[in-house]
Amino acid sequence: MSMDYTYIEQLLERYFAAETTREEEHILREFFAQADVPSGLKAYAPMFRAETRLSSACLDESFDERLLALTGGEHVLARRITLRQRLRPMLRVAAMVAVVAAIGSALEHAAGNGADGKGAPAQTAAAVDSDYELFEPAPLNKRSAEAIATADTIQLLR
Amino acid sequence: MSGFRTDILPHRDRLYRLALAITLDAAAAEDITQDTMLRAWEHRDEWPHISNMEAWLTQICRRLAIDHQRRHRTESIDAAPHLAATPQMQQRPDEDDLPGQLAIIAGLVADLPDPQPEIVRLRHIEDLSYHDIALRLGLTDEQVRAHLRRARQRLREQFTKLHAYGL
Repeated sequence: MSMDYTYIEQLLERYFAAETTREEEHILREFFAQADVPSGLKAYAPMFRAETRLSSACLDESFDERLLALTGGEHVLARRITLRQRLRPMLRVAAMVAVVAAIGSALEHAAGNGADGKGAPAQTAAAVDSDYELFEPAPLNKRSAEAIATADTIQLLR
Repeated sequence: MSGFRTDILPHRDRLYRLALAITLDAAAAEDITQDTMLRAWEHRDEWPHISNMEAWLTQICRRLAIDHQRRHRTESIDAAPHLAATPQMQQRPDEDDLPGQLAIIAGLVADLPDPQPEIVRLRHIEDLSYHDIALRLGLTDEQVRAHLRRARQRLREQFTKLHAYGL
C-alpha cells in the first residue's frame, strides 16, 4: 500500500508542477474519489472530488425535449446556395461539351486544309507571311458555331 | 443542412459545465445553457456564416454566466469561502456537499490572476491538452504550463492551509 501512496505522492508533485498527462490526472481523480484516503493526502481530496463532479456534470434528455419544443423541434435550416453554385455542375458539363466540339471542329478543319495542300511545294517565309495577310477565315460549320455560343453563355453566367 | 439538433444541442453539456463553473449554481447553469441555445436559435440566419460554432456558443454562454454572476455576486462568489485565515474557514463543506465543494474551488480559482482561471477551467473541467489550451488562448504550450503550475501551487497552498486549520 505504501508503494501506491508513494506513486500517488509522486504524481501529486508532478501535478502541482503541471507536468502530468491527462491520464495521470485521471488516476489522481480516481484515487481521491475513494472513501479511504490516507490522512497525509486528505487536504487535496476536496479539490479532486470537485473537479471530478464538475467535469462530469451534464444535463438530461428532458433538457433536449424542452429546447426542441421551444425551437420547433426538428426544424432545419437550408444553407444558402448562390446561383453560381447551383449552376456549377451544368456549367462543367456544358464546358466539356464545348471543348470536345471545338476540338472536333478544329480537327475536321485541319483535315480539310491538309487534303487541299497535299503535294504543294515548300513555301518561303515571305510566302507564308503573304498567305497570313491574305487569309480569310472560312465560315464556321454548325458544330463550331454552337460550341462558341455555349462558351459565350458560360462566360456570361460566370 | 444545418439544424438545431445537429449543430447546437451537442454542445449542451460543455456549455452547462462552463456555466456551472462560473455560477456555482446548477439551476442557474441550466437556465444559462438554455438561454444560450435560444439566443443561438434566434440568430439562426447567421449560422452559415459562423466558422466555429463551438467558439460562438461559448462566447454567448460565458457572457450570460458572467452577467448572472455579477447580478448574484453576494450569493455566490462573495459568499464562497476564500480560505483566508478567517472564521469562514471553519465552515468546511461536507465531503458529499457538491455546492460547498464547488464554492470553495470556484472561490479559489476566481482569486487567481488572469489567465489562470480560464486555464484551470479548460484543463480541470474541459480536460483539454496543454497544446489545445495554448491554441485556444493564443499562448505557447510552455506558457500554459507555467500559468497552470502557478495556479496549482496557489491552490495547493490554500488547501493545505484549510486542512491545517483542522477542517
